[in-house]
Amino acid sequence: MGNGYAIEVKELHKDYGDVHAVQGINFTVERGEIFSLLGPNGAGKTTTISMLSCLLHPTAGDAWVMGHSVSQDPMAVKETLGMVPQEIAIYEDLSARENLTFWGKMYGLRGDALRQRVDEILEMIGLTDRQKGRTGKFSGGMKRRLNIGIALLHKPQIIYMDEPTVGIDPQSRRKILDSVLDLNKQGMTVLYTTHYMEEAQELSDHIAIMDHGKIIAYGAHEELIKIVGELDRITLTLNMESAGVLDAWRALEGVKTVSAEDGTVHLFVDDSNLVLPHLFETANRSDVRITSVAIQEPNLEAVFLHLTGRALRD
Amino acid sequence: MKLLDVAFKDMTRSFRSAFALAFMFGVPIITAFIFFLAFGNVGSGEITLARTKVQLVNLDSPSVAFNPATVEMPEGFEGADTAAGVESMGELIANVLRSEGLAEIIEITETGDAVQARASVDGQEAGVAVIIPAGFTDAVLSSQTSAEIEFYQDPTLTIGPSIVKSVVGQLVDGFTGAKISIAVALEQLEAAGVQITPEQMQTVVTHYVQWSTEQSQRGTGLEVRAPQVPDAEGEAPDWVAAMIGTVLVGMMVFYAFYTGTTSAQTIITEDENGTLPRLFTTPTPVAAILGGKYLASGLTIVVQLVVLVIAGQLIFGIVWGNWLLVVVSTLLTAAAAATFGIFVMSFMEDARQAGFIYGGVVVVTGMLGMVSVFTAGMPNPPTGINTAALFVPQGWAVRSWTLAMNGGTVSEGLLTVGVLLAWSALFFLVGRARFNKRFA
Repeated sequence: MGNGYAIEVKELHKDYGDVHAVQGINFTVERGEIFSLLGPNGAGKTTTISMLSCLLHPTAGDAWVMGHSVSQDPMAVKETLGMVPQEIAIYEDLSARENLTFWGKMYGLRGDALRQRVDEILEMIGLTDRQKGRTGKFSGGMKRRLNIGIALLHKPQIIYMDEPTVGIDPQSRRKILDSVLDLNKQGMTVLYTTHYMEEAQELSDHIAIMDHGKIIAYGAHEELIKIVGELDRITLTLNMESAGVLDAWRALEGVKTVSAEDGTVHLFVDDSNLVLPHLFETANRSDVRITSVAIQEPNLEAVFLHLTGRALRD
Repeated sequence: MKLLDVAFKDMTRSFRSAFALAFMFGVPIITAFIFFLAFGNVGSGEITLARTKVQLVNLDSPSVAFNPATVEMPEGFEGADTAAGVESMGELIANVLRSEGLAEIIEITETGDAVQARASVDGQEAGVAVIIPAGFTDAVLSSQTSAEIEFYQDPTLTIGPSIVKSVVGQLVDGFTGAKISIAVALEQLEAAGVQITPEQMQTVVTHYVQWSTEQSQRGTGLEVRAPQVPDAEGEAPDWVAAMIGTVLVGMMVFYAFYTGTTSAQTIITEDENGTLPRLFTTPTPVAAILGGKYLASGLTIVVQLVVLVIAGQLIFGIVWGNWLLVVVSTLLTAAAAATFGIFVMSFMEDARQAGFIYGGVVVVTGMLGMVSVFTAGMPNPPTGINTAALFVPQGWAVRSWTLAMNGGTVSEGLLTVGVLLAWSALFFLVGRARFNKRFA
């Protein structure tokens, strides 16, 4: 199996007792592309990536990584991939060089080849000058870079990056996104999980949107946007809740959907310029005041909202 | 090869931790050093103990005249004026307590009032009162009556009263033995139609006491083997170094098990920190990863014990005894401690739980295992208390080291070796099975 794909996933399930963390997902990742799993926390992204890296056994179904089954041939799968876990997984009482040397050995590197590769990675992640310092004293950004460098030691064909930008500053985040693009340019296939719509949108050739253990949308960025068509998204904040206003808005011409959530109202409309005056007029008649207005072009956030009725960052 | 890489990484991390080093080497050596300072007088090897004040009340007055000429005091009790003025066995005990050999550690004050003697102890004017009852000699010489020497001590004192109790107990044991011997002898003589006089009976008793005291002094009776440690000149045994050796053995075993458990805890902490799951994503078999961690734990403890053995010899002059048994003890203690850690940690859900529970487990089992160390200085430890130590592996490890220090051989320690091996195998199999299941 595998059919030439970097990753092929078929009917993959993972259950924890009565909890169905992943419910029969299917997708393929082409060789040399960046593929993102996008979804809110708890959607099943990390469980999926854990099964694809042979950390978890699937309850049912299977997946093939570079043609190797994660169920039948996990050791071959592990040789092809480099894993960048969500949390920084390094030994803080060892130096950067000691960390890279140890992890290199775990990937089967030895002797001069190992030393040379460690030097290359230190150069690549900009830690050559700090290679002998204990990593416990490194800044968060330096640790993140080392965390990524470890996954590159054995020149893997595929790299998995599980939410690598969570909780870091914008500058470090930018560097990580650039490094993902650089790796991809070098021919590496990247499987990237995130709950940041902007990252998936910027990086990915293909995106699978996950929610509650299922893939609810799958395709290239442009294909996903077509799900919400050419609709504009208007987000309003009201001074009071009013079911009557929402019903009145639903009845307006050009309004496709209306959903309210925590005092915020989301509308998908054909043309925001035409609809907006009518929204204010209707609200005024009901003595409801609109306190803020935001208009957005169609994006993945809108796709997720359109498909689930919830914002992506829930 | 990867197994060794994992082991080397873990050992590097252990020996870089100041906290781990402190508990592996610092605490055991410092504890032993405190005992050395307290009892060793640093360098001289002399004892520095406060003299214990003893209130002696001798109410004994035999109904038959006592013959003192037959009594010669054994080595160690010289100076007791036994040849003159001794009219009773109570007087004989008093003379022993007055002897030069005990003058450095006890100070006798004699009084004829038992109530006053007890009051002196209650008022902490004396550490102990020894009250020999009236009719004590008659009771010893008669098979029909009995008598008790009252030993009334200040409960806050331990060493001084213990010495007095030990000396008096030794003599009373002799009298008791004599009493039994006389009863048997009388039966035999009566059966043969021979009658003996009270004076002849006294001669039998006094000879018996002298003989039994000499036997226990010379160690030719039932032998209790003490650690053979030379003094500064390398000639006579040095009890200070022997005592410190016993303390250090207890510390070594206790902290070896501590190290074993903290080493095994890294399996849990690495799991939580993400490095263990990351290791599982590399093309390294789970058996090599966990096996490396088990090996690191065992080797770390071996290094710990070897350093402590060498330090014990260089700093405190401890002679460890049979080196083959010392090597076997080192390896088996390391095996038992490492597998104990794996066993305990395999039941822990997370590092937080492990921190709370393993500390308790290590302390409780460690203390129980060191009972023989705690009771080493007690003249009469409670019956069976040392047996309690054998319910935990630490007790067997202490036993193995103690046997080595006492000059025992591997063949003498086969039972101990076998039990330690069995503990290790059991701990390893259960712990490994549980971890394999967890990380399968």
